[in-house]
This record gives sequence, C-alpha cells and structure tokens, in this order.
Amino acid sequence: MRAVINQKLIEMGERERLKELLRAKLIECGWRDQVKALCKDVIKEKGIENVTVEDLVTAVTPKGRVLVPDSVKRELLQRIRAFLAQHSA
Amino acid sequence: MSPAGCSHVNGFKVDNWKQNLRVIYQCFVWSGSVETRKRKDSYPVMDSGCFPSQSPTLPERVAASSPPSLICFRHWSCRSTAGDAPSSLRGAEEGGDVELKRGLSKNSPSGGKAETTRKQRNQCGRKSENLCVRIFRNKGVRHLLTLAKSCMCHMCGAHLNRLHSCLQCVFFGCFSKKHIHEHAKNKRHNLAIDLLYGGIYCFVCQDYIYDKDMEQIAKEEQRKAWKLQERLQISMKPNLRYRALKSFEDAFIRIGEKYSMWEPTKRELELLRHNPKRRKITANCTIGLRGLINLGNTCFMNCIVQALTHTPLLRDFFLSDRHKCEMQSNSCLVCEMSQLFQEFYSGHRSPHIPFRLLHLVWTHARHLAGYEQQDAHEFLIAALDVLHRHCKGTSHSQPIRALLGVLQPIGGVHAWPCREWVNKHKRVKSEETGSEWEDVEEKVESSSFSRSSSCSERPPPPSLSLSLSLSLSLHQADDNGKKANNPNHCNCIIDQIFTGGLQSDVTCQACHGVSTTIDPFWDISLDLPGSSTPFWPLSPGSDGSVMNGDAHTHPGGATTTLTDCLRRFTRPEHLGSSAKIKCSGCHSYQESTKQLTMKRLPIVACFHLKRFEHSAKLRRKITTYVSFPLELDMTPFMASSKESRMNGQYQTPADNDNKYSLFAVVNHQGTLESGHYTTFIRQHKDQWFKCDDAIITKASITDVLDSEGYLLFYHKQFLEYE
Repeated sequence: MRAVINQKLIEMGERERLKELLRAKLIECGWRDQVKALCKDVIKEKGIENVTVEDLVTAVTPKGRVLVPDSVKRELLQRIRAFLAQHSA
Repeated sequence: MSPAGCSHVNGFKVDNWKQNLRVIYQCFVWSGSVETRKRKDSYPVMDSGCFPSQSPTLPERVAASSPPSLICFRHWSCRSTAGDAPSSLRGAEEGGDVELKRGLSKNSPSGGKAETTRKQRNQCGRKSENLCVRIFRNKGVRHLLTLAKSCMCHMCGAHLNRLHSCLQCVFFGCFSKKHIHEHAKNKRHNLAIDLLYGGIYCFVCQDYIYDKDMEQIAKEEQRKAWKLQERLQISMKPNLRYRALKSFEDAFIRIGEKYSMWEPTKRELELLRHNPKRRKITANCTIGLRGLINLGNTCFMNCIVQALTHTPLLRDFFLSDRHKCEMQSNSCLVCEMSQLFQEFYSGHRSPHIPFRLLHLVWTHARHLAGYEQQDAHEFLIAALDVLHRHCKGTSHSQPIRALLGVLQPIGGVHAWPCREWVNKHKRVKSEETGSEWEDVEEKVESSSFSRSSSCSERPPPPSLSLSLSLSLSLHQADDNGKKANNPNHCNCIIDQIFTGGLQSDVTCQACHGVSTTIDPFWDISLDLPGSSTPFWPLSPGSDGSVMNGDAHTHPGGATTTLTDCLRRFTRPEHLGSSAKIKCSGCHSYQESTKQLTMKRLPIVACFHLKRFEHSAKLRRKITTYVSFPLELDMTPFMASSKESRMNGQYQTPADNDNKYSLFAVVNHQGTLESGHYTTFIRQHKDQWFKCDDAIITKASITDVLDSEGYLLFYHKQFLEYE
C-alpha cells in the first residue's frame, strides 16, 4: 500500500513538492535548529575526533522524530490525503 | 573546522582523478534527486545529468536523444543502438562504437540483470577497474550523460535508501541496506560518494571524510550546478524549456539554499586570534544601548541616532565594516556613522558625546545648523539624504532625486518644504549638480508650501500640488511615464533599507483612464485628526482594523489608530472642480480622483505623524493620542491589494511579505516652541528601553504603546533574498 502511494507521489512530482514543503516547515518551526543542537551535544559528549556520521544518525534520529511538531505532521498528512483523493483512479 | 581527510584516499588520487571526480559530481550527485531516479520513464522528457559545456543548445540536443543509456566508462562514449543516437551525438564521437542500450528495465534489476549490463559494458574491451573518464577525447565536446534514471542500487534497484556510488568503479548501492558496504568489502573499493549530498565515505575509516581537495571540488561543482540551473531558466527556448526544466527541476536537488556557511578566511582567522576577547549576546544583554550627551538642544539629533543605531540591518551593515569610503576629505558622514556604531556597541556604559557627528551634520545640512531647536523628522530626512549621497563617495549621482523623494504631493507623504528651506538647500546643492535643480526650482517657486516646523505658509491647494507632482514625476520619468527604477534605487544601504515606492493613481472621471506614477519615499507623513486639513471623517472600519490588533485603546471613546491614519492616507481623494487635470485619454480637462497606495514597501518603514501644524491662522502641536500596534500588516494599503479588491478577488491576509514589527518610537514632549525628544528602543523581543539623551532606563511595553508617538519605526518581519 505504502509502495503504491509512494510510486504515485513520485510520478506526479508531488513527493518532491512535499519534501520542499516539509523542509521549509521544519526550518520555520525551529526543528532543524533543535536537531542541530542535539547533534552538537552528541559531538561534545563523544569528542569530535571519535564521532562518526553513523553515531550521530543512530543517536539523534529517534529524538528528532519525537521533536517534529504535530501541526507539521497533520499538515503533511492532509496534503497527502488531498493529493490521493484528487488523483485516485 | 578545516576539512580532515584520511590516508585511504591516496589510492584513489591517481591519474586524472580530479576530472573524474568532477564528472561524477556533475553527472550523478547534483543531477538526480531520489525522486527522479525512478525506474519507469513516465517523464517524456530528457533527464540529463549535466550540461558541462553550459551551452544552451546542448539541452536541445539531449532532448532529442532518447532517454536512458549506459555510458562506457572506459571511452566515455554514449553507446547507442544503431540509428537511435542523434547525429550530433554520433558525429561527436570519434572512432568509438556508438551503441545505446536501454537502461535498466523498470522491473527491479536483479543481480543477474546488472551482471549482463556490466558485461556488455565491458564489451568495449577492457575491464573498468578504475573509473577512467576520457571526456576530452573529442576535443572539448563533452557528452551528455543520461544516467540519472539508471542511478539505482545494483543489488536491489531501490533509489531511496541513501544511494552511494563507488568511486572506483561503476556501482551504485544503498547505504541503508549496506549494499554498498558489501561491494566495498568484496572489491576492496574503499571510497564511495553519497549521491544526495556529495559526501565521501571511506569504508576503512567507517565515516565520511573531508579531504581538502575533494571538498574544494565539491564546492565548485555545486556552485556551477546552481548557476547552470539559473542559466537554463533564462536561456532556453520556451517550448524546450518547459520540458527540460520539468525534469531538470526535479533533477536538481536543492542542497539547502544557495546560501553557504561562512568560513573564515586566513586573514579573518588571524584577526580572530589576535583579538581573543569575545562578546556573548545573551537574552538580556544591553549591548548597543548608550546614552548621548545633549550638546545644546540636540535632542532632535540624539533621538534619531538612537533609532538608527538600533535598526538591525543598518547595524549589521556597519558592524561588518561594509562601508568603503571613497571620499577624499574627512567629512564623510557614513564613516562617522560607522564610528558611531563602534562607540555604541563597544560596551562602554558612559554616555557618548557626538560632537563630530554634530559638526558634520552642520556642514552638510546647513539648514539644521545652529543651536535652535529643530525638528527630528527633518533631521531624519536630512541625515538619510546625506548618508545616501556619501555612500556613493564623491561621484554624486543625482542628489536631486534623493531630494525629490522629499518633494511629494500634499497627499501626505512629506512635509512640503518651504521656499526658504529650498533656497537654503539650493545653496548647498549648487556646489554639486546644478542643472536638474534649476528645473525643479522653477516649478517649486511657482507654488506655495507649508512645512511642519518653522514656516507659516498655507498648505498648497490640491490642484497645484498635484500638477507639480505630476510634472516632477514626469520630469523624472522615462518614456513610459512611469518612474524608472534606477534614479532613487541606487544600491546604497540607505536605499536598500529605507526606500519604498509610492504609487499615485489619478483616475479621470470622464474616461476612467488611470495615470500612474511611482515615486520613492523614505517615510510616510500622516495627517492627524484635529488638524485643519479638511477631510478627516474616518470611513467606517473596513480593511485595516480587522488585521491589525490595535488592542491598545485609551479609556474614553474611539481612539484614532495608526491604521486609521493609513487608511485615510490611501483613500481615493476627489480633486475638486477647481483642480481639473488634463487627461491624456480623453484629451480634455476633467475632474479626477487621486489615490495613493504602497507599491513597494521598504525594509524599514518610518511613519511620521504630523503633529506640528503651521497654517496662516495658527501654529500648534496636535497632541491627539494615536494608538499604534506592535505588529503591523501593510497588506491592505498595498497597490496590489487595491487592484485585487477592484477585481473582486479576496486577498488573503496571510502574506508574510507585508508584516512589520515596531522597533523604535520617537516622542516629543512639550509645545511647538520648546520641547524635548525621547526615544523608545526595542532591545530584545519584549524588552524596551527609553533613551532620554544621556539617560537610558528600562521601559515596559505599555509605556511604549501609551506614548504619544511622533516618529514610528517599523521593521519588516520576513526578509527575502533578492
């Protein structure tokens, strides 16, 4: 189900647009700065020489997911629903 | 942080590695978003990887060629099936086979399929262990790669899982599913590049590495890719442009914005090291607040200086040392302002004595010289004018036009200068450029004026002011009858921050033809109720009051708000029968209505409440309280809003571009003859301070909003890159 939706989104170019929208919203609401701060904390803890990108990804991803505001989630979901409603065969 | 590489790249850095890497960046990294690396070609357009030669005809050629093809990396030629390749591509290939294979099919290419194509690729005779790119084989004609579509994991066909490309052979693999890791282990190819962001991963170090040379290449290629996209938008023929752009746009991932982070240069690092003292800006710090000694009725100057030194963009301009002085003499006011900013942000708590500034002001704006009390608004305009002139050094480009920003029709923009003042000014100006001034001077002499602070002449009847403004505007105008952008829109910081465009529409009542002019302005002068200028009945609140929460009212009845004043300013004004204008549409003298709206808003909008009244009968100060909001939305007063209203469209108030926040308020206490100026300054979001010459005290928002208000400074909330 998810794959089908995904496919459709990509084809119509909607996924790209949604991505841009999401990016803008996350910057606007300060999420990006929060995640940046989290990354900085991890780096400070481990020391800059010892930390790898993977470390950061594994450490920060769960926290980052939690930090996404509900309003952003709602809006994206709404747009996807609207898109599907508009384009469903 | 300087890039830190690892030693494992040394195996890669052989032969022509730099060029190879560049091609990879050009073709794979900036040229395909995960979304477009799809397997179906449902986009009937070309999806080229790169346009290395940046020629506008190349996209056309590519558009003509059929989509996915595999490139032989040994010879770097497009291998196409017979007859398919367009002659241009074929012709360009010297002596290489041209066979174009269909790209990996839409069903997920299993390992087997990938094998086949790799074998086929190797059919050109050699094993491609190293990525050998012979781009220049054909003397500069570079081949276009249409590989974006076939950029998918060779093991599972996915393109969404942090796809990486091996740097040492043709292999794409998912990062998340560890496909590329497997490849690296099997083939001992230790380097791979992230196709999304261009980072280079070393499997031995198990981390992304930042090799200095490679980072350099990455940065250059990214900049090129951006520029290319821009150029494509401009140079392509419309029909091709749409098709190409459709895929090109998708094909270009926006790596953040064009903006790139600040990296200190060597010199800057040196400076930073030599000056180890740092100042941390905390939420409550008082940096930038400093008192100013009153040198004898100079509070009019002090209050404006306080407002200017707390204008964020201006502050940033001066603190980052942007002014390069071209004036020979020591009398550059911009340099003095720069000095002033240094004084204010130095952290010294003792009040500053602005004697040099005062002297320069006297030199350049002689009408303000002397120890009498002056008008703060007039000082603001004079200061902006001098700064504007000095920003361009000694080569004065039409200072007259800056002044023309001041000479505006009585609709309420600026104080109409009096003849005396004009004459005084003329003496100063005639040293610089004379000719344009004469024209204007003539017209100016023919009318009478009023001025807010010191003259006692009547306000001009509307007809004269209108004809004057029209003739002035036409004097400035280009052939279209509209004011050209350039005269007042030089690129100095003053213009960038303070200059806006005021649109004046004169509608002929007979033929309804509209004649439009756009004049620049630095501030907006608003009439107040209780003045003797006619026509103050307020139209029942329609546009502005809903949006701008003028929540702050004095007890005891309807208060005038700033938006009321703005509404009055932008209302259509019927010019009486004594002020008929010659209409170019119907070629006769007709009655008309005039309306002012904002065409273009400045970054800092300054509102001047005309509290000083000078008419033949009386000179007085209007002390009516006018409430003003902390946040102001200028959308209802824009020219675009007026148009959409006329067309019946509802315009959404959600336009971020017109939202403003209050950051400084200049107040006048006292009477016309003798009074005192003070300023409220916003230091942090909800922290205000009162600047009374040398005394700075903390103030509450209520204090600010309760004050009378004479000059109100608003700053745009959202700034956009041009």
